Amino acid sequence: MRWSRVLPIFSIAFAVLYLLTMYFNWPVFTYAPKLRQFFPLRFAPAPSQGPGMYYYGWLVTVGVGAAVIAVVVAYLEEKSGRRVPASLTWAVPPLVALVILYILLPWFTH
Amino acid sequence: MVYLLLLHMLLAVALIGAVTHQTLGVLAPVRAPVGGFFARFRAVNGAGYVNAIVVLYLLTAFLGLLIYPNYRIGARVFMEELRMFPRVGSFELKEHLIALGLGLLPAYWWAWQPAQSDRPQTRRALTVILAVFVWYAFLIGHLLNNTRGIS
Repeated sequence: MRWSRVLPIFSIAFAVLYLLTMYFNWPVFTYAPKLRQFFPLRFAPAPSQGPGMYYYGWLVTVGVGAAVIAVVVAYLEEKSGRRVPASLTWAVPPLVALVILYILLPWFTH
Repeated sequence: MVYLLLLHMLLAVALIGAVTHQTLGVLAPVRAPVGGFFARFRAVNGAGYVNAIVVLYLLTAFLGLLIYPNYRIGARVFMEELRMFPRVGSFELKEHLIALGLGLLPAYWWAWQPAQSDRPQTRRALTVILAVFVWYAFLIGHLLNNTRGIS
């Protein structure tokens, strides 16, 4: 397996996985900034304990997930002789950004 | 915390400069620089900026991650109480674009390697996307810091 193939696939997988992770809220851990404590997976602190932050946990979920996907896909590429198009590296992230903007629209129309 | 925010901003300024140079260099390359400022601004060797941009992006994002809890329990609560929801949403979008940019960095670095010189479109597109993400994050960060900075 050529490691140079892993990098573009990682970026494509990262964008798709990030969208799923933020939409369905799949953090590996939650940070409660008021308590200064970490909790495993998704944790909703009591209102008096301040908000829970899922962003850090999402980044770990997505980083690890995309790395695994990239290695597997690069391996399959080599076996099959077919390649993931390089154009997906620049086509997918802006599309994901647009979907995220759509998800966030209530903030702007509130 | 204020010092971290200042360092975050200084790194972001350096990143903006580097990524803007590189973006204009790939969108409107100049082979032989002439006297004008704009021509000289574009007449850079984009490949020479790649590692610096990756390192600056990682450092700036890392500092942003350190400061983020302060925003979450300080500035954001303040803005929500004043019903400044578009501003909160703008920051939400910023955090997502920064994350997407982090994921984009491996492809961006790969596209700028000499072995990929036959992929100018991929190189150009990834550079422009990264620049858009960085500019958006910079402007929104600046706007929101003016709304409610760290005290």
